[in-house]
Amino acid sequence: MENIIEVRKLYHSYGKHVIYEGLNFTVERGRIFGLLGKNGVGKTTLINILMGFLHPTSGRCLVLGEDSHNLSPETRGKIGLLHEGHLAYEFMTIAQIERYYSGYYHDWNRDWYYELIDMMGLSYNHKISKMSCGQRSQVVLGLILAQNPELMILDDYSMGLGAGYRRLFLDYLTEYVKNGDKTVFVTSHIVQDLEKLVDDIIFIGKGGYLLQTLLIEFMDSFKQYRFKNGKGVKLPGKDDIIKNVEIIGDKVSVYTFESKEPAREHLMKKGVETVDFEEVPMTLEDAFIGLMGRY
Amino acid sequence: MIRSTFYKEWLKIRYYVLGALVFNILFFIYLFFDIREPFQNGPAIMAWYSAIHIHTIFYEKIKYLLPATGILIGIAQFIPEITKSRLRMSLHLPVNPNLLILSYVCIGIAAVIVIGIIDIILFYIIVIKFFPKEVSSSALMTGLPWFYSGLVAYLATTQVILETKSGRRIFYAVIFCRFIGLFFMSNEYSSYAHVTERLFLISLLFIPAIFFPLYRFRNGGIE
Repeated sequence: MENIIEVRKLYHSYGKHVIYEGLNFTVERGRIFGLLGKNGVGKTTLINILMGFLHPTSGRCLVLGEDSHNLSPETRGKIGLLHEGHLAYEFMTIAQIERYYSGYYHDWNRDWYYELIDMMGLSYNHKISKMSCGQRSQVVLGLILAQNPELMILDDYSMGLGAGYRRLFLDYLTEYVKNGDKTVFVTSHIVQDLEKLVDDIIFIGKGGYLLQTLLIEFMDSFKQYRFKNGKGVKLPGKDDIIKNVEIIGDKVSVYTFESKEPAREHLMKKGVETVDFEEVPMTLEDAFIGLMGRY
Repeated sequence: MIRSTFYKEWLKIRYYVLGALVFNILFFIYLFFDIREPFQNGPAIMAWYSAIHIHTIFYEKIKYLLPATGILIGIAQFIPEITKSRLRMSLHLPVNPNLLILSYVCIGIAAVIVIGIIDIILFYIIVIKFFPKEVSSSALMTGLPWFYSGLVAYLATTQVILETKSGRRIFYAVIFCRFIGLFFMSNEYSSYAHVTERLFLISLLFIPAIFFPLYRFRNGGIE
């Protein structure tokens, strides 16, 4: 399968503050790839590197086979980019911004754009500066869809959006990728949205790479076990097997990739008493917090 | 693509360009009444004496008109681009980014030149109404550096706004202020007659200088 994005040994820092140290991942054609991480770990930095707005300290980033910092105009034309905060030219109207962008793209499909616009029931002369964040997101999504790009890069599309606009955004994305030849690279702080959308997932924490996996594999293999935190019970610490520990009231939750019995044996070997040991089902958001921690 | 680029820039700056044009025209109407006033309220010989014998530059009030226009158009054109780093949207378009920014600058320069030409025509029409051709031509030569300074002021504003580092911004602002000051150093008639073209050619060197802040923007200046 062809790699649409290829990141190898990426290192980036701001002064002494290391953002990535040896980050590696690939995004294959036709996949929907979610990038998850807490605020401040460098999700937007990675997108800025991928789009050539930032030169990494070292390492290699290829997008559609070209060095990300020297993307040719032809390659940029194949990439639909949603900037964080749904950036748009606010001095333009709905019709003006469509007319402006249509001049740059050969495969421009204005029907995609106006289909989304018509849902809002706004005049085409409505100024973008007078729109809500949700309405502006529809304009920006419409422009990206009309561009008909091979690769869509969406930097926190959910920022500032209510549930209705987020759902609309996801529905259109799902429709867009259904033929399998389009690739989407998406970041979002609403983890639960990505559960319905993405095929592959990468979790990044402070300092860079943590885990790249298929979403379905991750949800199958990452487990939360809960047991009673009685008086005098020794609490487990993090190690190679126990990825995280949370204590709420008299309950202790541990997160691990081990199945139930090996996990319990591991805890018992460490001298942890596991009363009422049980597996707790998780959503992607639960698993994200379990893996990355709450804070 | 060129049409789209022109379209966007025009949408962005049209009210400012038209506003500046109206203001410039009103200012020249004011200049007309200002020059006419001594001819109406006293003997014309006094106006002649003041202009020709004691070399009073009776049109000095227009000195900073075009530089102010250049600064306004530069601000109108590039502040929206750097606000929220919107320049990234331009740099992602499927065109050569250097050519794109150069075309933005050319559109701004064209706007300043159009207003400048209208200013020059109005200026000449007003002066020749009251003074002979020789005085009007001399006034034009005296005022020409002020009009050129409008272009430099536009380029300076553009470069200062696009620059990503505060220290460099201040450095550029100081350099440009000093350079623009060269156009206003002398208050003598036609004193720039032999250097006007050279100053203008040096000013053109500021156009490629726009690429330096653009380069820095593309190398992490947005952070």
